[in-house]
Amino acid sequence: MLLYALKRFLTTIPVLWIAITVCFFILRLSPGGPFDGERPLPPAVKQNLEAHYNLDKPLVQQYAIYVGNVLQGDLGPSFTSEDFNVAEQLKLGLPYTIIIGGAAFIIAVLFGILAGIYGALWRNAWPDYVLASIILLGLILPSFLLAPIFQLIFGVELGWLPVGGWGDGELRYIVLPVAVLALPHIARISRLMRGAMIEVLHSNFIRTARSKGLNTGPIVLRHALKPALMPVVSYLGPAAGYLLTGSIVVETIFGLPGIGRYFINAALNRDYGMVLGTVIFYMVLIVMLNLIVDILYAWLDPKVRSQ
Amino acid sequence: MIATIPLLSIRNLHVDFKTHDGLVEAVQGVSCDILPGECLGIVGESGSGKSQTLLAAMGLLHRNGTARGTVDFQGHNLLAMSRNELNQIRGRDISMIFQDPLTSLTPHLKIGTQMREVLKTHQQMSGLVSDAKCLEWLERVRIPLAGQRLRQYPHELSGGMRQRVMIAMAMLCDPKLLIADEPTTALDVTIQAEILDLMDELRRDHGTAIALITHDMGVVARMCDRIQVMRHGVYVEQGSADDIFYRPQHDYTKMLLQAMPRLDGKSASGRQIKPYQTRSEKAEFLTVSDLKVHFQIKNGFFAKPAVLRAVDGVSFDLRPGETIGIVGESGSGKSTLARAVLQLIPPTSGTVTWLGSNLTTLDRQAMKQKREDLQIVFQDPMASLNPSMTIGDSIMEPLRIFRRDATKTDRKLAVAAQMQRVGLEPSMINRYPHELSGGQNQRVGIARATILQPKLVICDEAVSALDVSIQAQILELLGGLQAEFDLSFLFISHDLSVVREISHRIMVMYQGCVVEMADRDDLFRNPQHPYTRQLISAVPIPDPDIEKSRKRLRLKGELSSPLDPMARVRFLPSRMGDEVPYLPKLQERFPGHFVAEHDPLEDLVLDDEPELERDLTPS
Amino acid sequence: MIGRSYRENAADIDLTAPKGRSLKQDALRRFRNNKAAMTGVVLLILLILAASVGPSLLPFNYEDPDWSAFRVPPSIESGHYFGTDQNGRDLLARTLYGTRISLAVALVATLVSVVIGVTFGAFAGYLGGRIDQAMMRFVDIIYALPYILFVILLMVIFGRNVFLLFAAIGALEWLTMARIVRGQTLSIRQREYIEAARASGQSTPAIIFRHIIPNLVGPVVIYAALTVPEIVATESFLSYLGFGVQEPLTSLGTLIASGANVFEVMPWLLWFPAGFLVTLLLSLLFIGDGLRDAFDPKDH
Repeated sequence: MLLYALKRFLTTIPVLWIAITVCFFILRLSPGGPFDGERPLPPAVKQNLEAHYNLDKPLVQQYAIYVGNVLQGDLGPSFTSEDFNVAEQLKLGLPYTIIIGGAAFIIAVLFGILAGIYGALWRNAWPDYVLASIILLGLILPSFLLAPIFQLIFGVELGWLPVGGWGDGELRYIVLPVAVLALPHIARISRLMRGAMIEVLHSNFIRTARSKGLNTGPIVLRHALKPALMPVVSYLGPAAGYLLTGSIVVETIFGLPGIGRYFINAALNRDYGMVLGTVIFYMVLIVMLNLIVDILYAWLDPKVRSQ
Repeated sequence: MIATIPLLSIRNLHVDFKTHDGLVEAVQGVSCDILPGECLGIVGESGSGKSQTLLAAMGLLHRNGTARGTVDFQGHNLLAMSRNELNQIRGRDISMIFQDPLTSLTPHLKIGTQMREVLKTHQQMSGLVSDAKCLEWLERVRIPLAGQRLRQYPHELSGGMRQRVMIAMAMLCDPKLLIADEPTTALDVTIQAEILDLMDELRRDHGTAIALITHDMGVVARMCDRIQVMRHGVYVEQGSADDIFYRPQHDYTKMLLQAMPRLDGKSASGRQIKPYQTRSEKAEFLTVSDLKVHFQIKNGFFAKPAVLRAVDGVSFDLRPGETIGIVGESGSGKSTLARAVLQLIPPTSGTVTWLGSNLTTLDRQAMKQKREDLQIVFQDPMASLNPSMTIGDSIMEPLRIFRRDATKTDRKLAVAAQMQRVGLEPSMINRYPHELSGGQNQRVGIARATILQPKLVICDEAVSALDVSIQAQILELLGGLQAEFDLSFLFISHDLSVVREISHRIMVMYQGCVVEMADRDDLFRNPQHPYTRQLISAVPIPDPDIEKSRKRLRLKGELSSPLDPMARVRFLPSRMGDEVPYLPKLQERFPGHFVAEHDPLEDLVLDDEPELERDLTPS
Repeated sequence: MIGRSYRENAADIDLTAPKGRSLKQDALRRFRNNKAAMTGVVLLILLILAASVGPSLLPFNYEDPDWSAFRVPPSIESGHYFGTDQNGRDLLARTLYGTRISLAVALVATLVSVVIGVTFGAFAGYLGGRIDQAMMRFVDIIYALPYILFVILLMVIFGRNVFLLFAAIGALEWLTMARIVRGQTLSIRQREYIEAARASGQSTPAIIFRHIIPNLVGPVVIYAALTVPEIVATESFLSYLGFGVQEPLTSLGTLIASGANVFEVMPWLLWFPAGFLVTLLLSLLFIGDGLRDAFDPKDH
């Protein structure tokens, strides 16, 4: 098991390396440089800037410097903000993103799994149909549509919750963004869970458990839950990725000062350094989350665990 | 017989299933009694509803199934009980074991956990007392190293061991009735014999009644006092074992008994293969010599790959118009041998000589030309046909390859004629495999293999997936084709009785090697190798009198992993200590009767003590 | 030569045998009996018709303002059934045009992803061994990365070009398709009918084209159908953020983005495009689920 975890960890290295390399070359191959704006800069200024950002060195050397910096946690300068480099900006935004994303993740997993089990046990009865409708809503309503709807209902019409802003991190400011972020994933996870649970409940070993006279509780919890969780667990890695990208929209709509908003602003202002730095940061985060999920997955499977 | 109160009485039981294609009435009003301490056999072919009857009684039907009628157990109607009431009875008074012991045990829970929860549910027992009870039962079902097994996962045990665990778990609360649903169908015949012996012993020692659901008349003859014969959801005949076997009344029962191939050659069908005529000319036909197929098995990243010797030095020759039966249990390498002969798997070494040319050295193009005369029929009729092709197109495939000049109409006519020959209506030419039954699909497979009138057809478990009645028809068809076209067969099967029925000569394989080879009658009249003798003694014969008086030969050791180099000297323990693993040699003990070296039988027979065998997983 | 022994009874063989029902026909029949899926098909056909012929039937163009009607709420009298936006452009014309763009992106991107995915997956599955391992490792690596960020990155750096968007989404959506096709190819390769074909001397291309590819159709169709709504959602997501389709061109996502900014004063600018997007996604989802149930009938 430990060996497995180690091996799995080693596989993340080429992933990250490829990701960083691809990003670097996309950036360097971009038509014009980062400083070819609408108004051409005076040549001397441009040269100064390029020297400052190492753009005048050969490509290979630039690449080496870049990788070296990334490895030290230096994601490079922001081309538009002189005061903060990329890493510093990310540090500013990170807590907000983590709180919103983390809360949404936990809620999505918890509610998704519970709803999925519920649907499987009551399948083709009314609780299942209620669930199916909620799932459907979650699947077809993109977060950028869900957000204004929620703002309209809970913020404007009912006036229960603020339509945006961070407040001081008060709960009522967080509720709506977290709900918008979590709902699509509750839908996806419960759909997966329901399907997997139904399949497991049809398997031979559940028939054996029933023939032993066990009640539904122990059958579901002890015999069915673990195998039924497998597809859900393998979805958690990608789900974390989707949540991060989803948080970009949510932060923008609700005006939260997280990484997503920096990212969007940078992208709209063509701040390559910031965009690239953020993408790399996101990727490291997602690759790490995937790693954790895979190890968790292996732990659930006794055949892998006993190796 | 003294009137006893039945333990379980089923009255007018109906089971219906709602499916995509409408309502299926799987069981249509059956009634039967199970008496205390007896073994009732419920026999029928696939789809007869034999399993559903008792699953319904246990409340274990699939969600889309409903049961009507009454199932009376000690004054209570099981069908009318709430789930909680039923849970008081299931596992305590009535317990159940199933066909596939691997998928029937929860994969992620240890054996001990799964056993203890039965005691906790029904007897509120836990801790050391419960452990002791589990251990006691594991030992009673003769599981070696029982203490360790409690901490193991199901996938760490062999198939036979898993079924023993299932039995031990079912017996924990001393149930009054044990329902066994095809308990040995997924197991090798020697393991089957042990499991059946064990069940019989438990019944005698504990007075547990057994309801044995099976398709195998031999198993019924071996085990049962009374028998229900079931077909299409109804009981067509019931009676004592003697009545059913010696005085069958219903046509279906008679047909079942006739269709069943018998190891003692007393088949009632009178089916006979064309005796092999020795030909004067010494024709070169098929000669296999010292054929080996080894696979490298990777064991993780760093470990040296292990070598799996699937086929390890097999030699034989086949004559035109002859059938050689190849028998062996799972893992004996018989299917690999077939594929290596056809060059579908490249042999590691050795030669296959076909009509004078060595197939192992031919290039692709040359080999392709040879394939016209070499064909194969597979076990699973559905899987061996392309689901998106009509059966007509499937049968036509060989014509498309080897009769390129023929017109479309000619090909179609040839296909239609061939369909008639194998007993299919030519009007089915445009049907798809999923619209046909298993038996019909196997006829399609045979039609495809024989349309070019090849010289050799390899049948790889070709009748094993079929019901006995269909099996008999297919065997008859193969015999007819052989007589008509002077075909040769390599007939591979795990079923000794079937092989006996169709073969001129028989080869017994164990762990990739031939242990005995002889003419059919010599082999059965005078088996030499201990393994052959064990196999023969393990196959149940559909005749209660014979079956109950037969003594089973039990040998030391168990079928172990083919990765284990010591597995081959299981019958030659005197060479067990050798540095280099010894490969027993084949010797001609009588003219035409070859036997691999082995130690005297007395040294190999198991005395009744539970043996302590080596661990199954080679470490 | 094959007529040799068959000719004699050829006379009583009738070659006009009744047609059987193939698995695909069975699946189609199940699909047609699925009410939700058929509703989806009808909705989708209506949307496609509206998006393709609708704009040419309207008196208004999607980009030209109606100088007499700015910020007009939906009304029948004015002829602006969906109202107009801040620039006086007819929302109905814009919504239909936006639907057209969204559908086009989905179609092209799905095609790109199917072509890449099937080729890659079938190759990996059929070649097997080390090559397969390496190819799948590559897929795993890309799969672990959030591709939408790459699309944004490409859009930022290479400018916002609709065709680049098609290609970028398609080129990054093929991963799951490749996995599915590879898995299917592997399992079909082990089926006995492939062995039977090899045993009867069939050549490798014939095996691939006669026996493997026809049996891949089901899973490919199902997954392609499930990919379309994903791509529609992705496109509108990107357009919403401002990285997708740009003015004066428009797509549903772009319309929703501009509508969301003003939904408190001009709610119709949000609700109409949103309604179209939701209807489109709903119909695609029903069709995808219906196809899955039809080809792979299980108790869902």
